This record gives sequence, structure tokens and C-alpha cells, in this order.
Amino acid sequence: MSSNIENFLDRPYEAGFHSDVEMETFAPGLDEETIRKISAKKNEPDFLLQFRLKAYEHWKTMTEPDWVNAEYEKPNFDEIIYYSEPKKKPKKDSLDEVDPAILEVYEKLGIPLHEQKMLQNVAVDAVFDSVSVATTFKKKLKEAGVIFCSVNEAVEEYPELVERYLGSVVPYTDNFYAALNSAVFSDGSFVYVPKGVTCPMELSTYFRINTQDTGQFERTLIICEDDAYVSYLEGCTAPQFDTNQLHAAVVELVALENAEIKYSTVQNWYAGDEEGKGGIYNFVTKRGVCEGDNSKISWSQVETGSAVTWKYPSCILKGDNSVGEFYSVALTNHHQQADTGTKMVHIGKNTKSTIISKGISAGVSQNSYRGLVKMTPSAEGARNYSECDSMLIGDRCGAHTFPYIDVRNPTAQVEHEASTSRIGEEQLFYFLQRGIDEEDAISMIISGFCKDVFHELPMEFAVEAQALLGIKLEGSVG
Amino acid sequence: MSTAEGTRKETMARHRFTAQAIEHGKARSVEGLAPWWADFRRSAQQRLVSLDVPGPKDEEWRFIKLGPIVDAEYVMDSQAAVEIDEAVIEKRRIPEARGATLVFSNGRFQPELSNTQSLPEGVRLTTWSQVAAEGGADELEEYVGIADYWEDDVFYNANGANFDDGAVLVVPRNQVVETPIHLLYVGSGEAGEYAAHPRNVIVAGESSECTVIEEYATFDGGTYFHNVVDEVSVGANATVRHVKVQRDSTNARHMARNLVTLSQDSVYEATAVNLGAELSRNDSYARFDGTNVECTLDGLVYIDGRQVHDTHTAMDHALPDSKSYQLQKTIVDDRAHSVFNGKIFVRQDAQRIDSNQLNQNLLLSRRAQVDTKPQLEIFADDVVCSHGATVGQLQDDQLFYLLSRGMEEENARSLLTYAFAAEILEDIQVDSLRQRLESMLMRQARK
Repeated sequence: MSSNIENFLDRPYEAGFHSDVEMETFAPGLDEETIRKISAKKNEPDFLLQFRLKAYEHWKTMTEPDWVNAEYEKPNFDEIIYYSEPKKKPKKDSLDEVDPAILEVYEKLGIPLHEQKMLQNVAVDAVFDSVSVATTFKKKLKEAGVIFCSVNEAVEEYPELVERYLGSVVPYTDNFYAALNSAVFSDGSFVYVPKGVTCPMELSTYFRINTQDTGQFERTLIICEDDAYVSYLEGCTAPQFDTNQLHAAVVELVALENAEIKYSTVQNWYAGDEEGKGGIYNFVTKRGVCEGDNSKISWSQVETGSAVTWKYPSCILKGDNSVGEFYSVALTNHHQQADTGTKMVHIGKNTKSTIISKGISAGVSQNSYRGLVKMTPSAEGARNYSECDSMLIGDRCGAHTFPYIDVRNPTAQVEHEASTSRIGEEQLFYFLQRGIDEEDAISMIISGFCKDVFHELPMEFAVEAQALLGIKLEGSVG
Repeated sequence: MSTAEGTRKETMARHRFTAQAIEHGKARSVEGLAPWWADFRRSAQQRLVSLDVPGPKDEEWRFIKLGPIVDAEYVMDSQAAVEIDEAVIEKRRIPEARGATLVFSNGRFQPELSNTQSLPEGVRLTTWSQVAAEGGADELEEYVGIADYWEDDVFYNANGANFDDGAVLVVPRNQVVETPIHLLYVGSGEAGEYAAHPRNVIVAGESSECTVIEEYATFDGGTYFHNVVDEVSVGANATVRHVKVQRDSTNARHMARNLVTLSQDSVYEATAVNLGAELSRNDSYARFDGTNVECTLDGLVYIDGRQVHDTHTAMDHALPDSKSYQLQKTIVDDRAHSVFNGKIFVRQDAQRIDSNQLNQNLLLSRRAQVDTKPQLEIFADDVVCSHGATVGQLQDDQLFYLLSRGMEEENARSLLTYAFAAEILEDIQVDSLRQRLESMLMRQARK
């Protein structure tokens, strides 16, 4: 039985290859000069340079946090390359002009960048290292009034929007990695959905880290005006490298009155080898604010990659009747460590939040759920329901739960439940007895365990996610 | 830095509170102290020198402000003796435990008010002050400092640096003690704001059984500080039932650390009822040193006014095949603030652990506050562990049910509040104590 499991677990990282695209790269290390250079490179307006410099000044005063339930070698911030982009080429109107080597990379990852190959109704803004190389379906979105472009473009074309919202949800003072990101962020995605518009298609960004020792610091900003709706997908893979790479992104969501933002992530970055060598440090700050009444922000995530994952997609529920949701599957194997969860801060009246978190640990990995549910004195009639289940596969891994619940309003109702278990012998026996082999049985049990989360993912993602878990976990339980 | 400065730094405590605890400890009599006991005191004093008083940045302390405890100037308990009449004690006595009661006033043992005659022969129920006077400390050495969980804790070490009184109970093997044992601590502010550091050591020999009621009460609402450490060693196949009732003065402060080690096949059932004190903390740590252990840590907190209470518990499953249960209920009224943190550790290879934890909080007022953090840390796969936490107010439909049957709203509310809390008391097997606590709850719910 157990050899089966090992086979399953030892599937190689299928996205692990490195393509040689000519890159323009800064020397490693960070000082004010680097920041000025990044800013100049992008012809940024002064407000942005000032934002970066303030963030950098603040970052210098901060110390790296160490409360995460993970052990890792701290990144050396002097060895990181803070800017790297594919060699500048003239602007492209069609994909034919894109460097074929880059296209090949995406092809191997199975991302159908070509329009004809594309999943219906999905526009892809592909970030190759730091710079967005191709944006598709832009025209169709433009007709609807939706702005979907790289942050660099947004800075050029809609500076007033960027100035207004950048750092409004995650200020540069927020935390160590957010400050670092604010100082050096290179690119990312920008989405603006105007009043009353339902975005006609699901927006998707495929992030890729390519150059060795490149820290990737993207910045995503999504703004949904009154009565607008957008669904945003983010998928991540990275090639196989021996040294740890730092990924410190910041994602900010703003939902105004009656607006709804759905943000889905499948994260499958390189997790290091079986001995825990290499892999990505995924230290990301994601936060959304339900600014207007009746607004809704929903985070769905499937975390299967990275050596160390440390992130808490959060919702600040300011508007009355606003809704926050968090659906998460976090899978760790080998030496992976994940400390992830969410924060739901209830401020408005009758705000509601739901947290469903499923953690699966295998190998010698450590998987932690850490969450905060906060009911402020103004959160009249607020409700929260949290459910955090963990599954352990093998007897050398760990599953941990740290839910913080702070309540300052007696009319608020908070419920939290958590359980930890493994795939039972009886469960397996039930399947085997009906002629279903062990591998399929485990895959089905895991699917069932995660189904509450998969239901929340957009169709294409749900399929991808399920397959990913299958690949990552084939043959578990002893 | 010059050498002189260096040495000064090393011997100077970092905080007035630890400096005081060291001073008090050094001022205590060493007469009759067994060498190990003197060593224990000295090393705790040494550790205190380098310890910081915890602040809001310490994860274990982030929700409460320790100012009232650590900024106070204390009189040593030995200089704060207060005479108490039998009449004051009489109404607090537990009838079932009449012949097995130790009374302490301001942390000092009161032999005239105590009585141990109902205990079977061979059961040793005494106090540290008596042990110092009469000898017999050596056989207790192994039951003091039984776990290092709080080795770096200021309050645990302040107790270690000072303790010279408190109860000692040793139940020999195979002895079933039917009579519940009542440890009654009464506090009074009459002789100044004192700090007492009682240490209660309970040793249950193999296959023995006992029930201990540890109670803190006041008769004058004075200001004082009880810094308690309990150490409970439960032998193989032994059963210990431990009820703690903390009804200290609402001007007093109460800090308690309860260390428990559990041998194979043992049972430990604890119920902690915290009603009193302006600022109180009640922490328990249970280490499962054997297999097939059953451990229950239940708790009830009912606070109002500006009371602050914090309960931190940890159940440390070091070995396989054990069960643990925890039901912690909290009611907060007025501007009171309650904190709960319940940790369940399941170490590697501690397979087949069945652990269940539930924390329920009832908020009765707009300005009340609850911070709770149930916490699972699991390193073994064949386990069934669950925890739950709820925070809310009285359910509208329950209220409606009672109102629709003609009950007045005020009565309905107090009945529901009482019912919420009473579940914890159901398991207390000493009838008179349970009834007393129930009527106390009823009164508080009616307030």
C-alpha cells in the first residue's frame, strides 16, 4: 500500500523547466538608487516614485516577522534581483510578435495563450517575470468599459485611479513584505469595472517566475464600482531551481456599493525537491475591502506549491450587509510548509463571513490554518461561520489550527469548528470492496474532502485544481 | 561596557515586579528548608533576574494588561497576617469535607481552623509550612517542578522563588479517599496589599483515588495578589478529581498555574470555576506521560463589571492512545473581558488520540469583550481531534419559547443564562458544593 503512496507523492514537478529568454536584469541588491531606477525605467509619475521611496524608508525601519509556524532560511535581501524583464521589443498587436520562446513556455504549462486555443471567455494577461507581455481580449473588455491591463499601463493611462486606490487597502506600512513590495513592485494586473457593469468574461493572469534569483513583486489592484461584478483568476507555476526565490506580492481589492469581486487562485509554484531544497517563498499580502453596502468579496484558493506559503487573503467588511468569503484548499507534501488562512474584520452592520478551509498534509510537511474573525463594536448583527478541517497523510507531517476570535458586540454570532483526521481504513476498505482501486479511492476521498471549496471555483479552475491535487497526492494513506 | 556595569546588569532584575519577588524570596526564612527546596528557590530567583514581565507583544499575553499585578507594591504575605474567626470560615465549609479541610488566611496556613481527621490513615495531608517545621520534605522533591512548561514564566518563577506554604497531599497506592479534600484560601486586604505564593502539590499513588476542592474566597473585598502554582502528579491507574473555585475579591488579582502529569491508565477530571478577582488568569498544562489516559479540563467563567479573566490551557499528548475533553464556557457582562486559549498538542507517534474541545461564549452586554483562540497542533495522523468555538448572545428563539409560556423577559434571560453555565457544574460530584455554586450562578444571573 505504502509504496503506491510514495509513487503517487513523488510525481515530478511537471512545470519545472527553465526557458532561456533574453532578459534585461538589474544587479542584485536594494537601495534608493535601485528604486529610482525601477521607477525611471517605467517613466513613472512622481507620486509613484514618492510612494516607493516612502515605502522603502519605512521598510528599512521594520524587522522581518518570525511568528510564522514554519522554519526557513531567511531571504538575503541583498542578493535578490529586484527588476528583470524580457528585452524590450516594439509593442505587439498580435501574439505572433511575441518571443516564440516565451510562448513555448506557456505552451508547456498548458496555458492556452493563443486565442483560438483559449478557454472560452477567458482573457489572459500573462506576466512573464515582471513585465506583462501580452494582453488578450482587451478590445472586447474595452467595449464593456472594463479596464484590464498591467499596472504599468494603468499608471500611464489612468494615473488618477492608481493614485487614488494604490495602497488604500494595504498601506505600505502594513507589514514587512508589503512595504518591500510597495518599494520595488515591478508590475502586475489592474482591473477597473465601472458602475453597473458585469464583466463579460472571467479575467485571468498567469504569473510566472523565470529568471533565477529574481524576486517577484507584483501588485494587483482590482476596483469594482457600484453594482459591478468581476471574477478574477490567478494561476501560478514556476520552474525548478535550487535556490529559494522570494515572491512577495500585494493584492488589493475594492468593492463599492452592491459590487462583487470573486478572486480565485491556483498556486502551484515549485515546492523544492524531496529533501526540501529550493522552492519558492510565497509571502503574499492579499486584502479586500467591502467599502460599500451590500458588497461582496470572495477569495477561493488552491495552494499546492511553494516551499513556504505565508498568506492570509482577508476581507474588511465595512459596508452594511457586506459579505466576505474564504474558501481554501492547502496541500503540503515533502518538506513544504504552509501557514495560511484569512482575516474577516466585521465593521458594518449585518455583515456576514464564511470561512471554509481544508488542509491536507503529507510527507514531512507542516500545514497551518491561522485565521482571525473580528467583530468590532459597530458590527451589529454580524455573523461568521468557520470550518477548518485538516487531513493528515502519513505520520510524519503536521496539521495545526490557530483561529483567533475577537468579539466586541453581543449581537454578533461567531461559530468556529475544526477537526483533524486521516483517511480511515474503513473508508478505503469501502471503496476497495466495491472494486475501486486505492489510487482512485484516495483521489475520490480527497475530492470529497475538498468539494466545498471546489464548488466555489470557476469551472475551468475546478478541473485544473482537482487534477493538480491528484498529481500531487496520488497514492496516500498507509 | 565596563565589567562593573556588566555585573550590575546581570544581578539587577529588569522589572520592579521581579525585583520585588526576588527581595521577598530572599527575605523568607530558610529554617527547616530541605537543601533541594532551598536550591529550587534560589534557581527560581536567579531565573527571575533575566526574565521580562510579559507585554502585549507576547503571544501568550496579548489580550490582557498586567499593570494591576506588576505595577503594585506588595507586602510579604508573612507580614500580612489577619485573624479570622471560625464564623467567617464556617459558612464556607463544605459539609462533606468537614474532616479534611485546610484553611489558609492571606496565604498562611491556619492550623486551628483546619481539620484532617476524617482522612484514612496513610494519606498525608499537610502544608509546606508544616513540612518546614516538622520535616519530611525529601520525599516531596520529585513532585515539585514536575514539568518545565513555565520555566521562563515570570509568575511561575515568582512562586518558585517564594513558596513556603500551600497544601501537600500524598495519597498512597491503592487508597481510595472518599472524603473530598477542601483547600480554602481566604484573602483580606486588612493588613495591606500582600502577595502570596501558595503551592499546592497533589500526588496520587498508583490506583488511588481522590477529590480535591481548591477554593479562593474573601470576606472583605480587599486588594491582594494570589500567585498560585498547583502540581498534580497522577499515578498509574489513579483518579484525581480537581475542582477549583476562584471567588477572590473583585479588587484582588489571581494568577494560577496548574501543572499536571498523567501516568498510564490514569484519569484526571478538572473543573475550574472562575468568578472573582479584578484580573485573573488560570492556566493549566497537562502532560500525558502514559498511554490510555483520560483527561478533562472543563471551565466556567462568569464575570461582570470591569473584571478581566484569561484562561490558557494546553493538553500535551506525548504518547499514544489517550482521550481528552474540554468544555470551556464563558459569560461576560458589563464591561468585562474574557480571553481563552486552548491548545491541544499531539506529538509525533502519539497515535490514536481522541480529543475534543469546545469553547462557548455568551456576551450579555454591549461593552463586553471576548477573545478566544482554540488551537490544534497535530503531528500524528491517526487521530480524531476537533475543536469548536462559538460567541454570541442568548438565542432569540429560546427566549421566545419562554416568553410565549408567560415567563417575564427578565426571568427568561436569567434562566437561559443560568442554564448555559450550569452544564459545567453538572459533573461536580460533591453535592453541597455543586448546589452552592448553582445558587450562586442563579443569583448572578438574576442580578
